[in-house]
Amino acid sequence: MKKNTNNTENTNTNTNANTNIKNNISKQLELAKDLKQLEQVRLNFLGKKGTITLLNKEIKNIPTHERKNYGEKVNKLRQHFENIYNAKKNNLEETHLNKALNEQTLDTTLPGATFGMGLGAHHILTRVYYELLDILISMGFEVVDDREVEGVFYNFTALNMDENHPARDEHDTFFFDDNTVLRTHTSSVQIRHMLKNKPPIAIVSSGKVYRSDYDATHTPMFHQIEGLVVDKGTSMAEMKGVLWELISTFFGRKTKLRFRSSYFPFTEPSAEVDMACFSCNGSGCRLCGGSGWIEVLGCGMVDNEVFKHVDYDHTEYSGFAFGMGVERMAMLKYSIDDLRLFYDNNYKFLNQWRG
Amino acid sequence: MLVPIKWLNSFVDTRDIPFNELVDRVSECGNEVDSVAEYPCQGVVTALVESKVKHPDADTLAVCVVFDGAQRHNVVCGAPNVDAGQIVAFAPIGAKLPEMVLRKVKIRGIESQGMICSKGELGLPVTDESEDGIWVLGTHTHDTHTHDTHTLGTSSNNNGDAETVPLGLDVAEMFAIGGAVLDIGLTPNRGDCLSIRGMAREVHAIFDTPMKHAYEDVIASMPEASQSIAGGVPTYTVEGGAADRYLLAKVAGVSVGESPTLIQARLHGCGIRPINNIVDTTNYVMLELGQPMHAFDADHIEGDIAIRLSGEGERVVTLDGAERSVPAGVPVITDAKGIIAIAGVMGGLRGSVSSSTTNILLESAVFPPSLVRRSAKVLGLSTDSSHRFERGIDISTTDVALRYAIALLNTDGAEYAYCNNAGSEFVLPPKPVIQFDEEFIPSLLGADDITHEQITANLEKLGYGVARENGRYAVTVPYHRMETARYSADIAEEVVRLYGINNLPNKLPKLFAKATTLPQGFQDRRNISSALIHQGFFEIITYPFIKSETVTLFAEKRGTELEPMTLRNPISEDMKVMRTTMVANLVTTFVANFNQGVRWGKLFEFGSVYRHENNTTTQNNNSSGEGMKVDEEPRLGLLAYGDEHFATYPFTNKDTKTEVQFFVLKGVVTRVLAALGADAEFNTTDTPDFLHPGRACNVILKGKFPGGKEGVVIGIIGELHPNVAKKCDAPDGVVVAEIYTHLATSLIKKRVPKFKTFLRTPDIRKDITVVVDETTPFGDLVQTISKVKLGNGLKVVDVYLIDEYRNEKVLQGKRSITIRVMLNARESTPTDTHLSEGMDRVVQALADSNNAVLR
Ligand SMILES: [Zn+2]
Repeated sequence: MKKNTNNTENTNTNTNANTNIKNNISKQLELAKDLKQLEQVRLNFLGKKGTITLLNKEIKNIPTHERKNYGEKVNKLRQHFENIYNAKKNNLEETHLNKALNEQTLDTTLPGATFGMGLGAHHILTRVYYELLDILISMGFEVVDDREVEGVFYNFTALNMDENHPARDEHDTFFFDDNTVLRTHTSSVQIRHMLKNKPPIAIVSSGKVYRSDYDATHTPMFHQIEGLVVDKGTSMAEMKGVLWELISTFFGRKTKLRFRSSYFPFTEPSAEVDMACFSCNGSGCRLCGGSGWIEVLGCGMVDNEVFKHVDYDHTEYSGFAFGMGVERMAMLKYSIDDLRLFYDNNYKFLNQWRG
Repeated sequence: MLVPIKWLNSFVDTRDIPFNELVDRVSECGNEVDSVAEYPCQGVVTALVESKVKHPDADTLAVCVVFDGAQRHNVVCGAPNVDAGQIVAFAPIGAKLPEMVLRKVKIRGIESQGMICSKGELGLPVTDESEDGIWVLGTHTHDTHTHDTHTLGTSSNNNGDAETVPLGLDVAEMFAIGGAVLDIGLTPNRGDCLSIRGMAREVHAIFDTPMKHAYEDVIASMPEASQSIAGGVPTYTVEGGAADRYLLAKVAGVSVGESPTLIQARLHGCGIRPINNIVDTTNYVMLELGQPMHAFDADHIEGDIAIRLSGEGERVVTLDGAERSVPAGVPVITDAKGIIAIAGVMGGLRGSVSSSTTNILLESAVFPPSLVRRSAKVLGLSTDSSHRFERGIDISTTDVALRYAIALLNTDGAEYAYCNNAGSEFVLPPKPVIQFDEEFIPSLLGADDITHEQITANLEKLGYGVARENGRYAVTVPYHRMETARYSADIAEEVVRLYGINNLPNKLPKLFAKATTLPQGFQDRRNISSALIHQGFFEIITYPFIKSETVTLFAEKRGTELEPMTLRNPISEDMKVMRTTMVANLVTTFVANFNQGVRWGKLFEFGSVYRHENNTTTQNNNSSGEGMKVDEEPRLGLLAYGDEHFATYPFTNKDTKTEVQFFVLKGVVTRVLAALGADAEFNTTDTPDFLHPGRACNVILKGKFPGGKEGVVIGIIGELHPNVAKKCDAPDGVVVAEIYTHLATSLIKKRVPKFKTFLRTPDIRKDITVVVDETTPFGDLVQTISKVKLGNGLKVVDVYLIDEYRNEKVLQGKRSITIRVMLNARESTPTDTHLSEGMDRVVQALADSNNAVLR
């Protein structure tokens, strides 16, 4: 009986204390204004000397048969605390974050910083050069390369330009000695390739070429890309098809082309290709000199004399060749109005071609 | 070539062809019209000066009444030669002259309703300086019966042929001086178009308009040749193949004077200055028919004439007054006293036509193109005549042209006679015949729908004879194309230019089914440049020829440099020698920008350096056209200068900014090699003289290579030597590098990276700080650490530099270096004990090998 009473009393006391603690938990958590105060409240209850911690430690003084009941009650208290605490913590954290987000703003209109170093650029000629090569490679041309200091046989003779040809004059060509020149075109590369390979061939030669000419519209060095296809039955219509693909891919599909009969020593028949002036659309303006057309490249069917020099049988094979100046293509596509800009290497020019 | 459209129209009427179409089609068919000049006079008419009175307020001015057949105009005129009764070229209000459009003006209070024009004001050639004042076209004949008829004279030096001139005629129209002048850029293979007749033939073929040959009427109307001309005629001989055809005629009793206005105006339209009737006639015939002519003063020619090749030591004073020594083998015209002309190029001063000439010898000939080309070249002379002979002229025109010239000169009853019996023994060579398979042209052109009828018609319009039999064409070449139509491809060209290349279909070659990629060398270059661009570098492109002093300045070993390759005909001394290093032009480019206030430099260039092969300077056996043996070595040059962040970010702290030093470029070079899949090592032995000796190193390719190659130097990095910098006007601290990309890529064989398995456990990081002698290289410490056996399956994965600290007061000749060692274990996760044991061994090894003391 006594024990019972005691027990009951004890339980009653406990019940009251329980309610007090619960209220206290709610009140203290309610009052916590920030994460720091909240942490203090947590320590008040769950820290080493916290109310709930102490209650938990009491368990050893509780009679064995009541321990389960006691333990459950303390656990419920802890759960009660944690429920409110977690909600409060989430709440305070969100408030804190929102406050921080409000404060942590950037002036995003300041310029972008360089990470280590900024972006550089290819020279525009290199860029155009790759643009053109990529198109030609996609069509099946093989890219070949050879020397710049060239013998007159490869640069002239084999291309049907004999000793009397005006291009062999010192006013036009740089000479090291009577037989050695800086190549005046990359056709010499084609000759070397043909001497080493039998048809069928489809090659592109490209690179620096040199002419002894220096004024507003001529630089002593410029860049060329030249194509050559030799096979049985190769025709002028195929040349037209290839050049149309090349030019219209480079400049855009709306491009209009005009083939004009012309003359080169190494091709027969020969032609020059004009593009409808993109500035005036063909009606004539200063850019196109009033004609409505802009010359973009030269081309033609490989001359028999050239085939003879490389020991190709012209009765069995025919071929076409074409060549263009990279500078000219760059000027037309990127609206560059002065040839000399390419070789001045002014930073203000160089840094226009990033990306 | 300049082609006045009205002159062209005298052969082939183009008036019904829209002008744009004419220009476009002529261009497309192979004779590009470079530009079109319009004759600038419009609305100028013939008019009669009815009266002339002195201007009341000006002594030098006159007030005239001018009648144009419909209206009378009051005109104030300042020309001293104006007079009543003259027929003049009158520009009324609204007329257009080259320099102005006529407006109503008041001159000294009197209104002037137009202008009486001089030749100059009309844009016509003024041949005679004394010919100031207005152009008098004729005078009023005081014929009481025909009041509206007036006499037309060509000038004050009127040679008597007067015509009646109606008033109110368009002056430009009347003298055929109006209309457009086409400037045609003829290609070297179109010698046949170097005449008005030749261009007319072209227009005729393109537009199918009929040809007229007015000159034939002129020839037909000339009198017979004299059988006995005063003074007789010389005879001539052609020796040594100096001429393919030669004709000479004597015209006696010519009076030298001005040519008729029509001839003058046409010459002027073709850009040739009229001189006198004899010279003008030879030029006129050349321009119209394409046959160069020459006139000698017959009274200054001694004895008979020989057309032969020059011998040694002959001299001549040419028409331009220059005394020339004529090399042997040049075709010349000679008389008893020596050379009187360089055949087809220029006449001699002796025997030339002057104002006192009365008897002339007219030459019409064909000289071999190769001989004329050679003599023009060796004499350094190029004339309208040599230009035509070099390109080949029509051998069937020689006699026609001669008769035409005689007819034009023979207007006042002068006598003429042919030398050598008019060359009647001459037989025209057979026309060449070109044969080819009938499928050749359609197949070469790729024209599926071209018919044999079209092919035949196009060729016939161009003057070819066409026969087609047994599946083959036999095409006969006309004389005017003999020099240039030699092969079947030439015939195909004639066909396609009229057919129109634009009308061919677009096809693609069948062999394009083969796939290709960019060759390795191009790919390497692309990889390297993209690595550089992403590190902020800009590519430049420069000329490979530089000043020879620059080559010396940038010699690797001063004093032992080899003879560079030198251009025989450079643009200038600054562009004379082929570069032997990529560095020089990078510095020049940087300095040019530096001088414009730029304070950074991050540049690279791909290009070749050039040397005589095997470093030989003596060239032998170089006569075959093969050319010299040359080493062209592709290299990469780099330059860095200035603030690493160089002003692209505004907040760079000026006090803490790091100058781009050696190490930035070293890092760049390391990454460039990484882009090639190679690792670099560096040493400092024997760096080039143009670099700072204490701030330079060699770049060495890590690894062993075929042929036992090891430790191959593939480049250099360093600060420019202060002396070199000074000579280049460069600031101190410019860092340059040169990578021998060709050598490097030829050695790096493992171009395809292979997957290597890696330890999946995370690497463990251990930092240690040691104090070493200031002179102990960091690289040595790395070497030591890499070789340490750590035990317990541990291994060193990587070694980094974390910090370097120097402080003379504290460390006294030593420096403190913090190193990060990355460790991993082969088998299992290492224990703390294993790790500290391993690091102890590292510290011990550093102490043993490098005298390092742990801090
Ligand atoms: Zn235009």
